[in-house]
Amino acid sequence: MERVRIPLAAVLISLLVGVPAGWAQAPVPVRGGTLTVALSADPPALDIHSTTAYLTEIVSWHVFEPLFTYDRNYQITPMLAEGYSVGAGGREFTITLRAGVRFHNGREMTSADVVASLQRWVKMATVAVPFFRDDIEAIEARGPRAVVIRLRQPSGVLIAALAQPIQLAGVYTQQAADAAGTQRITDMAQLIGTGPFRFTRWTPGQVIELERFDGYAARSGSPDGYGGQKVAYVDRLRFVIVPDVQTRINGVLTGQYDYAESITPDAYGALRVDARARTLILRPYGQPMAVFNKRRGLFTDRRLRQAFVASLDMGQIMAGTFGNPLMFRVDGSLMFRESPWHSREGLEPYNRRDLGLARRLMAEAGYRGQPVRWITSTAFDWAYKPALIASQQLQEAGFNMDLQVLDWATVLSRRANPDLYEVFSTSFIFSPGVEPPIQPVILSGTWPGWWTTEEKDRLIGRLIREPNLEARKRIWTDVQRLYWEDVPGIKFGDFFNLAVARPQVQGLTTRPDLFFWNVWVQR
Amino acid sequence: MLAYVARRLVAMVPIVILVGTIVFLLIHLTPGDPVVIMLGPDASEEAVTRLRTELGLDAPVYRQWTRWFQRVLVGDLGTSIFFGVPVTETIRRHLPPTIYLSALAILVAVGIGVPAGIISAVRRGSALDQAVTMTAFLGVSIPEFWLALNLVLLFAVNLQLLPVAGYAPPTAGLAVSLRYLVLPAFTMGFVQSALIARMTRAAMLEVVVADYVRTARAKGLPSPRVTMRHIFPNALITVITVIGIIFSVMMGGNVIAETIFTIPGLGQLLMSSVLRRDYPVIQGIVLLVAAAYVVINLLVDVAYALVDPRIRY
Repeated sequence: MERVRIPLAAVLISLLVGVPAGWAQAPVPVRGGTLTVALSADPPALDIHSTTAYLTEIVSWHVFEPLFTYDRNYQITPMLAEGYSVGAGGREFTITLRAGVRFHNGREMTSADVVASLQRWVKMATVAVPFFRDDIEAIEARGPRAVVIRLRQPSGVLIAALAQPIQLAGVYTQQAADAAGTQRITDMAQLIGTGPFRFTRWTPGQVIELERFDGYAARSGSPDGYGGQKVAYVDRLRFVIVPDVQTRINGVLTGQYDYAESITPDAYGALRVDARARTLILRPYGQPMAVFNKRRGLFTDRRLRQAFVASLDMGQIMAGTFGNPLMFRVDGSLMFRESPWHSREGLEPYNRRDLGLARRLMAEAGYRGQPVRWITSTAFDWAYKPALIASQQLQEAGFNMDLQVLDWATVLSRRANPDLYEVFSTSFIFSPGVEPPIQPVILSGTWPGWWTTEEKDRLIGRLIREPNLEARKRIWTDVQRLYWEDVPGIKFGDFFNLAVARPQVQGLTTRPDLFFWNVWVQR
Repeated sequence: MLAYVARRLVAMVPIVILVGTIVFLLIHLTPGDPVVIMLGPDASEEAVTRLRTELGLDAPVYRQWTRWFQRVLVGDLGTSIFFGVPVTETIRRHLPPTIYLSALAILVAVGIGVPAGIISAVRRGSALDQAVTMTAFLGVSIPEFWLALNLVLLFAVNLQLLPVAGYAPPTAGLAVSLRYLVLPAFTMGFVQSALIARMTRAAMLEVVVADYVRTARAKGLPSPRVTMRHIFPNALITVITVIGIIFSVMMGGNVIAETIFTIPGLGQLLMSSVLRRDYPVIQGIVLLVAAAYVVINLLVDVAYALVDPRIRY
């Protein structure tokens, strides 16, 4: 009964508003079949606690579920939790759990599983480290259906952190979580969750197979963003590893794959008019960035960082990198337009190319043509192309650019050494974790680039502790203003990701974090 | 003969040790950190340090080298950093597709190259010879990826006769697995057939002017018989050498074909392991390939003795 609710509603609505007859026949979900998704690379693990890798997230969150997640407006909504309450002046969080949720081994989930999972997750999760891990006094069960998290100081970000899709705070069985500790779990038999799918096979480098979990306890109601009701319509979900992008495209065109991710924007034009394919622009998706080395060398001087940003024409950089205007957006806000945290304040220095100002700042800082080593990689368009175009513009402003093109692994290791570079390329994938301190690691003083200013630390500290949402939004605006004043790095704009699917695949969304529950194949 | 083979196998040991050491040093001196790749780009410094210690990557390179070598001596190639499973297991899984595909590609290469070489040698200077030479030049010059993509476009996307990519082992049924491997095997085979054709032609032309060939013709033997009995066997040594070289190269991985056709072979594994800096896997594959080179060379030498009675070890 639950399942027909959406299409029925759609039919009723379309009858009411009197749309053409063809529209009224909203596709009715079909059960069964296999959905084959072509991924561009291997996820490094299936243990979702163990890595911040995006590919791990989009595979494993079909199996593991969080206590909270994000709805269609990127607002927090409960998943395995029923709800939560805050006490002791923002220091005690009591999370009640849904009843009747079963693991893939048939056992009912209890607070003991949640406690063990959270204890493991806070030790491993990047988001937990700087923001509340050291504040945690205890995570304990209160009866079989409630969990209490007691903190030494109030936290405004705890629930948001628990809802992050990246390095998801998924619930494992107590036995698996305790046995593994902080070790990565590689034994498939231990990777048991509560999700609509369960793992059946993993052949590294080739395929990850999941099967519908028939005992899945779906939430009532309708699907809502990453939350709400989840239904596994397909019997099997296969993630195949297909590194070559043209092969991923061809596979969809010939029906060998149902869905392929990470498609080059250049392919958009041809795929758009091809009846065998449906293009999906995942929007929002990511932000390409350049981050300064603020620990050593030239760019410890803030005036030079300001000169850098004053030299850049973001429209040109973004258009040169992504080509098709549907695939990017020129916007300097650190949070995406789709997020409730988007703000236009403090963006004045962004995309105001002013070579006079740049040269003045360079002279003030005493810049005399020292080489600016920018480490980047051709592995990703969002890394190389902005660096190339920006270097051209910077050269015109008078910077002596030394663009060092390396492979991606080398960039990742060099950026940790402050002696080796002035600027590095990176990007951030949109996280619905609209609680800003969690999202851009660029704000962290320990992450490469090392942004350490008292003002920032003070603001972030307030942001983390402040429980009131409106007050936090105001603090966030200040953070953004400080960002463009102090310029720890440069956000070039927003870019979107292209995916392609067979037209028969229904129920897909264009959210950045892929999921294939509520998705079916029309026959 | 047996003593010769044994000697050659013993000589393999220092080669493999040397190659292993060079590769170990090269990849450890290359910047890049497997841990950062595994934990994801946003991982905290703390998590990175912890995992690095767990994996023993914080130790000095010489100590990592001795540790690795001690294990290799007892047949343990270590554990893949990325997948967390033993390297031997990882390689065992990726080896069969590479051997199978290479064998098919060699069949294609020989099937095209040898007859083409023979024909152009026999009809030297004719239009046919010109045509074969042209095709051979094309084969040598066409980039493998370009050929592969065009074959896919024609046979898989437009005609829909074959799958775009993928792999099925022969155990899934020969017909099924061949459907997947026809295009990659042809791509690799065609490119290599050019070399075989040119080498066959050259080797045969050397023999065509030999006295015994003239004698054979003078005896009134039919021309095809002269070619196949008196000329070709003498050219065979060269052909076998070339096949040996090609096979060794293919064992090192057909990165391009395996990537475009998504075949889970050694080439693809090696490529992605390098990108991920999965040191134990890279080392394991290189050791295996070094050993394969030596063994294939040995087999080639043994084959010489079989086809040429004048050669004795």
